Amino acid sequence: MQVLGTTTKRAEAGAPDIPVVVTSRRLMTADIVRLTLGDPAGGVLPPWAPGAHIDLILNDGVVRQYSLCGSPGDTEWTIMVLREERGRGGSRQIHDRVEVGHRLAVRGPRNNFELGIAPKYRFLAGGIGITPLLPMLADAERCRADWTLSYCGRTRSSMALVDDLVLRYGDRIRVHADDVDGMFDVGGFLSQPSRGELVYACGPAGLLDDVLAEAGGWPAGSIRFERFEALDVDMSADQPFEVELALTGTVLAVPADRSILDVVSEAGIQTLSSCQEGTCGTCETPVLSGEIVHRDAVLSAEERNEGDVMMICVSRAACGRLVLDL
Amino acid sequence: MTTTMPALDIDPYSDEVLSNPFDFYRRVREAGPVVRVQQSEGFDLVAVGRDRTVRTLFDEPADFLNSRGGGILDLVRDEPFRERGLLQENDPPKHTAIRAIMSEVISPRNTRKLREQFQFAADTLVDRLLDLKTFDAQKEFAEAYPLKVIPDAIMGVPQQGRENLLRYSVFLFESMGPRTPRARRVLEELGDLEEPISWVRESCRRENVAPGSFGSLIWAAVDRGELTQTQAPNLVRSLVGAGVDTTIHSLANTLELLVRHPDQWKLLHDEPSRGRFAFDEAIRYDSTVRQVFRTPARDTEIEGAPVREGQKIMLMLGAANRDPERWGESADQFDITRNAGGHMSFGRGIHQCVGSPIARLEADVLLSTFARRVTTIVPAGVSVPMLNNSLRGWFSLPVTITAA
Repeated sequence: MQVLGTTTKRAEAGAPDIPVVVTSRRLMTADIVRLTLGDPAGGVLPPWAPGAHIDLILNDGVVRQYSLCGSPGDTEWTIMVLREERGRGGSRQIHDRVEVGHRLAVRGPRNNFELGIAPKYRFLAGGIGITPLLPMLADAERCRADWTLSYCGRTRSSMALVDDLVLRYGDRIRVHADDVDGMFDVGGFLSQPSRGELVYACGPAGLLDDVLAEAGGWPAGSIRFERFEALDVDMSADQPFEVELALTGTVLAVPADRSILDVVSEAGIQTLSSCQEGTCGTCETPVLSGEIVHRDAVLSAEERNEGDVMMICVSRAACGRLVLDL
Repeated sequence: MTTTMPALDIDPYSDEVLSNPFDFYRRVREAGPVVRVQQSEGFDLVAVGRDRTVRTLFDEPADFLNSRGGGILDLVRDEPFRERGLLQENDPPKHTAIRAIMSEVISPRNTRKLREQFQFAADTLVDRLLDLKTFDAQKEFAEAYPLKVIPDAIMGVPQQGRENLLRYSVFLFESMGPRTPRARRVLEELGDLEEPISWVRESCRRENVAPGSFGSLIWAAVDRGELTQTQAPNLVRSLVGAGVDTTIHSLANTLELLVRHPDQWKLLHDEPSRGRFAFDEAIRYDSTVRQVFRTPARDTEIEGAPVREGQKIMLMLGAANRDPERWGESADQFDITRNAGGHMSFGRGIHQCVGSPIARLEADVLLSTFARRVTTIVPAGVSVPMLNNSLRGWFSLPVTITAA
């Protein structure tokens, strides 16, 4: 599962972080990196089942979710991460900065995409959507189910593990590269459902929408999806800080559980805001000095790095004091 | 718990309500969270006017759908008057990727880049207004500015034929309501719409959007494989349709309120950087978009009141913006020093007006420039309100100004 979307959700409090260490790192395609994560104490990480994902906690409390794609019996966990140039920076952070030996914190595993028992499966993967399906294929094979995987991607070279899968499973794997084969025929993929058969699909929204649109002949519940999910923000570790308003020199204290917008408005300073959840961009405020924790869904990664502006309804300080042009 | 729904014997589309909706807004808010209203053309309507209820419906896009039309017509059951809009008349999950692309096109960075050219256009326009001294502010101020900057920067459409935009918008916004005798008359007076409709269609084509404009950024998404050839013109059209008249009338409404409230004009003139606050307070006080519609995906309840799958729910933005529960005792006062953040005039949630940063930038630049260079502004005759099924605005707004 990869991350996409524009909503900001609060991470569930209470789940303890699990410390892990990166034990291997391998580039699978030009854009996909595979990481294995182990217990820093050399022990065994918690068990999981095919379809499970973990929350990987990155800098700034940003949380990204990745499907576990190794084997449930492994003592370590395996994830694959697609570099998304146009995403909000989580995947770039992983690609550019995470090396073997780095310590990370994760939560989970959780499973919203469990493999049900069936005599026959049709799997459909679009690009990086292959990840939750990989352990499912092994399970289906072990149970001697009748199954096929249609694996789609823009080009064959962009599809992680495609050759390994063909080698291991032979003609159960149907590879579809858009540049050679044209548009994937979702209608053909879904034709002639048989009794008790289940479909598991993971991939970009457009592909899943097409599956939904063509799902007519299938009984309710027989087509199961893993959708790309929105990001979570962990606010439990938020710290208090100060903001200095450059126009008047006023210094205001922002408690851990309140926004800059609230505090500034309460002090009688007029501000413009609208959604008050980091999605509309109305409260954008110039920052004269200080480090920012960006929590909005509006600014690009480049703009975040420049640190000249922030959305004061959700974003916070990564230092003791921010000086705002207010 | 299910409760009986209160009913009001008032037609929201009557000339009386269109002229002065505020008493109707108050009565809907006071009658209950969900209120049945009468509609002379036979539409079965329920209205919500409290801030809390409107907010809740905006926040539940999976239960209260946009795909069945933001206007009074049900796009599933009724015959649509145009091809469905991919951005506005759409629900998740299909909406999500489209919205992400449009949010990126109208990003803060891309919007900030416009400030300089907007400022130049504002300086030029105010020069002209100071020469005129007495003028119709609807035409010379509120229409002139967006019609200059929007087609240039936003759409990059050709100079020639821009007057078609206004005719297209009237058609669009009237068509979102019922064909009342008044609306029928307006649409008849518009005459043959073939020309504006085909002008808009042509303007959205790849070869006709100017390089660097938002229209060209939408087409660039086709090159990246994120949009299809047929989706791009539909999205350019949504900028054209939604971004012109709404801004024009919002600017006119703001100016009219400032003329009517000299104390507020003085606050702005003394501190012209308040332009953006004046604009947001004006559209809170008098929402340019009267209402939008949502359609329940299934039989459900809103605060205990049962609503049916497919029933059109009228979200009264102007009523929510005056709700004393949200805005306190001073809800009915026009006060540009108020913190107007969180009003409903641009909607809320995943369908919140994607172009609002552009509208706010236009208003900020124009109002601040105007207030800095103009000392007094007084009526120069009788203003004529424009009645429209969806929008509040003016037909003419004669004023006289003196230079600072």
